[in-house]
Amino acid sequence: MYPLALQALAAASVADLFLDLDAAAPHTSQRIRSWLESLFGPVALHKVFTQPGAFPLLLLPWWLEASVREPDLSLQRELATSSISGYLYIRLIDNLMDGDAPADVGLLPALSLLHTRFTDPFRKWFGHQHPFWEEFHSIWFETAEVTLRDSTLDSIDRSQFETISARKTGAANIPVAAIAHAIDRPDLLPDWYQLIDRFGCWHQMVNDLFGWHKDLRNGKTTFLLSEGRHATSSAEPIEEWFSRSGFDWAIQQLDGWMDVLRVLGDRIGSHDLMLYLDTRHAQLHDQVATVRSGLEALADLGRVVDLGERRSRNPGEMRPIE
Amino acid sequence: MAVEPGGEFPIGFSYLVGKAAFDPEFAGALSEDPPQALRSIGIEPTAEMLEALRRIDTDAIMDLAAAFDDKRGVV
Repeated sequence: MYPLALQALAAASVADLFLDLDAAAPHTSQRIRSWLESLFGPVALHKVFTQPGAFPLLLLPWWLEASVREPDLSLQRELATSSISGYLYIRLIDNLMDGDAPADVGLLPALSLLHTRFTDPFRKWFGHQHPFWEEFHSIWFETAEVTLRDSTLDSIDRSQFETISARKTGAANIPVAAIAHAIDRPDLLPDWYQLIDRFGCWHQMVNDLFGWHKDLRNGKTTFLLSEGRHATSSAEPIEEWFSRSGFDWAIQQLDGWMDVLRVLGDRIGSHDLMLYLDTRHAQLHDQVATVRSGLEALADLGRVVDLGERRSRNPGEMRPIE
Repeated sequence: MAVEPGGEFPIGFSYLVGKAAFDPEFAGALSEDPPQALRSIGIEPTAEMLEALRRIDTDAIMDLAAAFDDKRGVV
């Protein structure tokens, strides 16, 4: 899914970033490393961005440039350093807001460094009056706006999901805008923006789907859980809805967005992008088969142990899920 | 034994889903040591129960736990 040249470039970009941070702010750099280790364990940061299930943050500008000309490796390397810095900037804020992933308010000063590294290539490539900046501001401010709005929703319908929740990944439009302007092809952007917008829906729903029980446990609001609450009576646990029809409902939504993505990908004309979409779709459906089998086996298990009868006889026996 | 639309779930299914999805140790124990797995959730297994348990695809439950665990920490 990731060309070898891009994988090498991602590794070099992470090295660039930490070489820079180590020199400029060694203490902050070390704190960022510790935070990343708590998030991703021993996995090297560049591999986190190039694993099959990752948002294609580095691939999008690569595909755009590759659809016009051979990618300029030095341009893409600077852009990857920027994108990774921008991602970490957003992730740190998200973790602090959500409170369900490791983060430390003491890391807040690191945001300055990450934001500066995020914008470095743009300031180098584009003058103050360049039209890129108008797009940058529009995308960046909208991403902040939807992130804030999403955090305040106590129920999410389809329209809110598509216009708010799924647009939290909208900052991915920035490196795409940057490369389009850098190669003087801003005319390509409307199609790419549409693609990223729809991919944001697909990606967010995959996260909501495979993190549904964690979200339920943490009291998070998602489109999937909101749909479940609307579809269930007060007596029916949401877990039963998920197994009975919620899982299939989510897959239907995902397949619908994937159909749109393929149309958009076809219009853009990037063979690598189309291949990527096919691969992600196939990977998802491999997991669908696994989850369906597991849910069926769980239903069988529930019958075997006849938990309800035992619980009613010995109500103190059931322990809460930790 | 799939649950048909409109069919009934055993009571306690929601508990099992949570347990299997978030406790890979429990899912693994179901496969390797079913009596101990059941005792860990407060159920003293009967011989009949253990016999029925042998027909359940416990590997599928382990895979389910892994599938829900798979996405954690992804960008």
